[in-house]
Amino acid sequence: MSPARTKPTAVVLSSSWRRPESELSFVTRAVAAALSRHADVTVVAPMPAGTREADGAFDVIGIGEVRGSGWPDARTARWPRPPEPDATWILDDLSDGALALHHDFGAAGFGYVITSPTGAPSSALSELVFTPDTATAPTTALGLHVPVNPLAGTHRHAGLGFTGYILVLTNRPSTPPVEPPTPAVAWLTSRFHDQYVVIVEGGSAAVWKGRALRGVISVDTRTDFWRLLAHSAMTVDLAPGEIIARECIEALRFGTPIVVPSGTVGAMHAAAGGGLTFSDTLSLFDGVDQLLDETERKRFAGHGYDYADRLFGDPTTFVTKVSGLIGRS
Amino acid sequence: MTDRPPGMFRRPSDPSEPLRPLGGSEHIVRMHSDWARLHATPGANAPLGARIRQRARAATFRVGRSASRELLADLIRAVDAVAVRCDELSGQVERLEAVADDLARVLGEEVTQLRAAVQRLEADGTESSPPVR
Repeated sequence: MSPARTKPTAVVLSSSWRRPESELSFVTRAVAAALSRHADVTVVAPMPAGTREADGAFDVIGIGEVRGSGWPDARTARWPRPPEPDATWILDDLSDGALALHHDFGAAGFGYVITSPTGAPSSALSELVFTPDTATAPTTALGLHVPVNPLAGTHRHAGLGFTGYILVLTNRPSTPPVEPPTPAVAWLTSRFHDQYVVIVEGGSAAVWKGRALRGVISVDTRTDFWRLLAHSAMTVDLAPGEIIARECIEALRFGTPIVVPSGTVGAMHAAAGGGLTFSDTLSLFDGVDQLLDETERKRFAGHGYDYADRLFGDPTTFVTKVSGLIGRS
Repeated sequence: MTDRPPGMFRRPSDPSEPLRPLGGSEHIVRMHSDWARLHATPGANAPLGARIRQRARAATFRVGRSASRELLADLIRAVDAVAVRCDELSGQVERLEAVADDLARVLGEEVTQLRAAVQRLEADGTESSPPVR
């Protein structure tokens, strides 16, 4: 006879869990952790059936995997213990395989999907909304807890002898050569000759000023990165994350305004008061120029800080909001 | 952002630190002091021994090495002239560096802004132009 359940249950079906460097994994882990305060959470990742992998507070289980598509066919999935019929399901993947598993094993319970708010809406499951679409309706968003170390704001990165630079987060993959810089940086250092432009990519930060490379420093830890964010005049994120634009939120939590491409999740944070958007080179220049004005910069910094702190700075509020997902759709 | 981005400089265009003037440098000042000391007449209140030694040294210098003395004087004048010219050139280089940096900054910024504006105009034109049959 199985022991009587005292807590509701939840299944987190995650194809990103084992890619912890991805933003999707960060968000999925945060949701699972918050859920675990109110429910027994089973984390399932594409792994061979019967395998179990300890990962922090969770044991990730495998129910089978198919090379290429990831998830096993629902008919061949082997669960160590089948999920409760009324379990709440969280998916971070809208693939046919994931939806089929939810359909076969969790259709009776409530299901949610973690997906990009800028992507096509899902008709199969309710979408978890972490970021408000406009500044006028911030309460409809779930928010998240995006931790930063406030001490990063007390000391600048040891490799830089100055502050107030334009920090650029790259849109180039992996570890590109430092020279030439990504095109946006070439444009920025040409347009703003006297400004230091610091670009973070491939675990290092290259410093440009007046169209010339001045040096390269390493960014070894998240704290190094936070220091760079905290002491910059603004952060230009050329490729914000697709789920929550984590780095934009981190910048805002340090009171650093952002400049981001329009149509991205980062643009939602900017629209909430934290910065400006651009759609071409000229509007990028306009945005940066506006934030180089100290009065304007402080205005956006204040709004952005308040917004980010309210929606992404309080773990208790996030846990409370996530608990509301259990047992409803 | 599809347009070719601006080219980068191989070296910064910043003006370097101004060079210190050679005219008042330690070595040249010392050279003049030594030269003046060789020709100085002893002061009236100097001790007798010192005055005799000074006069003997000056007399020896005048009588025994007059050719060398002329050469040394010419050399000192030449060094002075080179130092003055170096200081003038340093000043000119400094001004040129400042001009080059101003040109790089002002023209670079303005051309970049113009290129971005043209980029937008081209994009707007592409969007609004009717399809070609």
